[in-house]
Amino acid sequence: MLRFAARRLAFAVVSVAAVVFITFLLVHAAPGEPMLGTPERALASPETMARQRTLFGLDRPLPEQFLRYARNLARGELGESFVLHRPVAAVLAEAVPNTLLLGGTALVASLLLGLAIGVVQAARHHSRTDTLLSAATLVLYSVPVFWLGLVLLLVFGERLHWLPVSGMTSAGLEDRLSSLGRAVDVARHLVLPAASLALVQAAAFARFQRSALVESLDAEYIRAARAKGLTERAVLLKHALRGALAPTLTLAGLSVPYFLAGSVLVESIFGWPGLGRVAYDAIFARDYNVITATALVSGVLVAAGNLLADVAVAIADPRVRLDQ
Amino acid sequence: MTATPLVEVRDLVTHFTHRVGLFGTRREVVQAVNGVSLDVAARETLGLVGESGCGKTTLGRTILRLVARTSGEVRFDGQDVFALDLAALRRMRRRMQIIFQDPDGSLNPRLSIGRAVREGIEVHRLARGAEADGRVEALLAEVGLPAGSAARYPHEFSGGQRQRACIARALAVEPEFIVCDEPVSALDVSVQAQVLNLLLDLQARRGLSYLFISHDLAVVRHVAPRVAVMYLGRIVEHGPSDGIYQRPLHPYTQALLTAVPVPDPKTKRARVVLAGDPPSPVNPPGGCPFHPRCQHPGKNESCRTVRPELRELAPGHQVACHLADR
Amino acid sequence: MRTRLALAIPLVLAACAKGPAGDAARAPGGTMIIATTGDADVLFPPVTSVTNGINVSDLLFCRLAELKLALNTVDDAGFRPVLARSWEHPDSLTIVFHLDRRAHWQDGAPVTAADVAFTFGVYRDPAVNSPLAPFLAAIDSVTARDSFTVAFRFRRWYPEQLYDATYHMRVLPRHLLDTIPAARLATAPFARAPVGDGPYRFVSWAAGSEIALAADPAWFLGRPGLDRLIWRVTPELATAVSGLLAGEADAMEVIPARGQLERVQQATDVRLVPYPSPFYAAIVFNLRRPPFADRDVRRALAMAVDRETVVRSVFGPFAEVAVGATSPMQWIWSDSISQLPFDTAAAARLLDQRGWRRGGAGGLRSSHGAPLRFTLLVPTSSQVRQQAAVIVQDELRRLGVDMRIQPLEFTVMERRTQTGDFDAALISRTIDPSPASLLQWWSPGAGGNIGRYADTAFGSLAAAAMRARTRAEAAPLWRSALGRLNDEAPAVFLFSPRNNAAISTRFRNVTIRPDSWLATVTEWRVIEARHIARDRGAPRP
Repeated sequence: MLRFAARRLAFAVVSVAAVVFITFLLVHAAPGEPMLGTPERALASPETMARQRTLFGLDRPLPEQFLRYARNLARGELGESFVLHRPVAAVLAEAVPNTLLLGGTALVASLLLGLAIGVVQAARHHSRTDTLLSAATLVLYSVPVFWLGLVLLLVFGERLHWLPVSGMTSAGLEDRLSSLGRAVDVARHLVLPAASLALVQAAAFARFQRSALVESLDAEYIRAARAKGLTERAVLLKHALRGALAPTLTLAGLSVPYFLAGSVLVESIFGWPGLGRVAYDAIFARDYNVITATALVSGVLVAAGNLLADVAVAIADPRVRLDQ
Repeated sequence: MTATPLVEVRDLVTHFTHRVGLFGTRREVVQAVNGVSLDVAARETLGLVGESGCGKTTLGRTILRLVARTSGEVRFDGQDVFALDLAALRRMRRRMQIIFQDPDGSLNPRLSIGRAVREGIEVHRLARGAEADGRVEALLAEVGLPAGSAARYPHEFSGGQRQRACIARALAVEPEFIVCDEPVSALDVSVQAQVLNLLLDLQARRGLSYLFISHDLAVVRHVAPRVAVMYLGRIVEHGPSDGIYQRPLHPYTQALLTAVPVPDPKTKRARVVLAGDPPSPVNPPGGCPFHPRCQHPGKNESCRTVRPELRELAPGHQVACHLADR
Repeated sequence: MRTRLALAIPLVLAACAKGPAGDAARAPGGTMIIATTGDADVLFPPVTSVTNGINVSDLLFCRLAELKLALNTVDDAGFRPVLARSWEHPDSLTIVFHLDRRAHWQDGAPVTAADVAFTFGVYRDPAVNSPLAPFLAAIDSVTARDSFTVAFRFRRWYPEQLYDATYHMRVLPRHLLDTIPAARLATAPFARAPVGDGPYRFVSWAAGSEIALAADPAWFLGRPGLDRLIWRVTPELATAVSGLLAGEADAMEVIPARGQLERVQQATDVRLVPYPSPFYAAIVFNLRRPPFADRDVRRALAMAVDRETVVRSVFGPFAEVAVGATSPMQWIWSDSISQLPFDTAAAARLLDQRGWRRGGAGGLRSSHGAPLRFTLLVPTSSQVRQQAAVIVQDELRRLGVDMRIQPLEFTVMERRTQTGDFDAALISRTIDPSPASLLQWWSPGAGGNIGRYADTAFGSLAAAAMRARTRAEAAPLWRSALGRLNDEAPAVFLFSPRNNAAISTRFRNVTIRPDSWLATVTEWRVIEARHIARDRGAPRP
């Protein structure tokens, strides 16, 4: 177990380092340069820009810049944002928890919803309910997240006024709310963006779970369980689902990149102040240090997702020996 | 035969419908069991022999209502198994169990052996807590598994041990009747005999009835005093093992027997070769189902057109063949 | 729902008004939530570059004097006193400001002449690297004569001295900043939680999400009408408009897309407030490249573009055809400025004369075997400019000119135009109220002169305009300079969009100064009958 963990950790560190290296190269190789000031506003003169470049070390050769970046990174320093004039670590410290809240909620919600739909379908596979749900999940799975977000926003926010359309809190009302009230307020703001992210992925989980379950319902040990006199519900939930859970858990672990990529869109639509927005703005402004740091954090999150999925699968299935 | 058999099967038919084709628009009916009648008496073992695909496994599962029947009936201790509601069926399951051919697939890999055994005890509320634990330990010991097996998972055992665990699991609910579906054919030859002997010991000790399904006549003869031979969903010969083994009446049985090694070299047996594969149960041939492969020299027009019924040619020995008494 | 609320609120208010607390002195108040598509960068005026950062810090920090709504940048009468109670011109190179003694920092310290001198030093310090420093180049020194008197000394005389002395700098608190090394000022905690001297004080800033300001009830020019201003970052324009229509937000500075404007037009609780925008868009030719070095070719291309059609099909009613390198915001804007006519026949004649004759494949013009072909760079960030480019492309094709459109990401396009690696570019320029901004774009050697246009006639007209003593004197000179620019056609000046702020009908007394839309926000009020829950939220001390 320890050796397994150590090896997986080493692998994760190497892949995150590779992500950082490649991102660093790509952002510097990409055309354009950091927006030091906004030239269309006539503000920054060429001399100002040149001085700024020197200040940020952008006039040095690329290998030198990378070495300096790597040295700082090894010391735990992520550098400074060119645009925001503040440490990148501070920028991330504000954004990452928000993205974890949004992405984590969406992941858990999509997993639960996907499992529920998959179980209902498998329990009565080839029935009309199954066919209808299959069609529904296929449609949902094909919907672009961006579009779904806008539709939810228009219907539940603008038209029905059930839920707020943007932000994490109700502006101007914070000081009148108790701490419970604030939690409820954040939860209300969370519903639409989390649903936009979760619904599409729930459809994926449901389709996956259904086929895994239907397949596992065909196993001999399911027949043995029925022969023992277990109720159909117990057969499905205790025996079949447990067997069919591992692939879905693995998929859930692998879906972290989907939630990160989706958060770029969803956070923009719903004004959710998270990592996706930070990354989007930074890419647009060529804020190199911020781009590289968001890649670093994303890499860590993806690696953590895979690791968690492995652990969950191992718990669900004693055959998976972690030291193999 | 005793007066009231424990299991009575009458004219049992099991057909499966498959959707085939790209969009599942065409239906195909597999006639797996096609009118079978048989009895299993208390404390008795009935052997059921046939090639793979003949429907013997489906027959065993239909008897336990693990598979829906198409028509006919099954009575267990006088009760119509297919008339039971789901709750009554689950109660009935305590009395009749099954051991599968493949111990790998029939044990849930995510359940320890102890939990797999214990589950049956708990479902039927036979014991609780420490008492249940004690029962599990005793059962595992009874089937010859080492102490401490309860906490271990299926993949930690050998094939023979796993089959012992399956037997323990079946015994956990204290059944009267067990369908043994090829219980040793997946095992190494060296352990086959051990498991067979275990089954015989258990039968003697617990007074069990078995329906013993196998493709191997030699194995069946070892455990079953009476045997039924199945071909394409029908019983084609049925009688005492020794009688069938020494004087098979049906050409199919004769062909099966030539595949069995003869322990006594003085016994001369005409070599009958079983040519080709059995016909598809989707579209069984008319007349005698065996006629396309039958090498009986007297094969005639009625073999092709008239399906032979079972006829009793010797006491307790029935055969479905037009040519059998000639 | 909405109607019921609207009915209920006056009743509640009427009930309150009977109590002792309902006295008229407390009548102002209210909260305005402003939806913005971008967050602020930093709240330190010398380096703040992003629109929203500028909007917020403008309310925290005061200028010595403010432009009045007319944006007259030349005459002293165009300004109203803020930190400076009054000013005088003892000689042609000096302006002396007398500070208002009531002005104070939000920590209680008075605003002094030393603060003003310190501020000038910060803006000019290379270590701070303020993008505004070049605008202060004509100021030689700023010295405190006494605590409340400060003198600006200029290197040369010109009419817009007062404008340059007051417009670019917002006075900073020396006592809070002078211990911080200049290079660290922008990253200091102050820059994210500033202490100002303006009508509003800083309350909170959640990055990417929200900035809140509260009125300073003790502001020396009188308590502002609105208790709180809260900016909500809503990057997606459609969402921001939804929030506005749903009543989650009260105002937006500008709604730049026609489709979204039409949504607001249909709403009853939100109205559009149009005002001239501070920008214009133009197709700039690179005069370093062969066909555009030829003035007649440029003129022909300019005459071939039906700008009226471009503007109407892209914007509908929401923009003006540009009369030149200016916007209606600037006082030099006039319909009398001479422009090239839309005349395709004349354009064709001109090209024929210059040897670009039809005859190539598809009726393309060519000269000595080389087709008349060029590539126009357009930023992918601007849908409006991409649409306009397609229409222009079609019009030029009819003339036999093959213009290819290359959409580029903004930073990439910026890089190409800065380094001269382009044929033509469809750019947008944000301009100051002062017409002097013309020189940043069109005088030789200026950083913004990406097409390398150089013309002595234009130069001398602009120089004369810069020297004119009054606006009345300067205006015709500037207009002649613009006419000369149109005639030379270093660019095709396409349009100046009309900005439309969207503001809830809860607010009254709304005026907008085009260069800084919240410049008059201290005068805005919430209609009392239409107070809602957030208006009653107690502002934090």
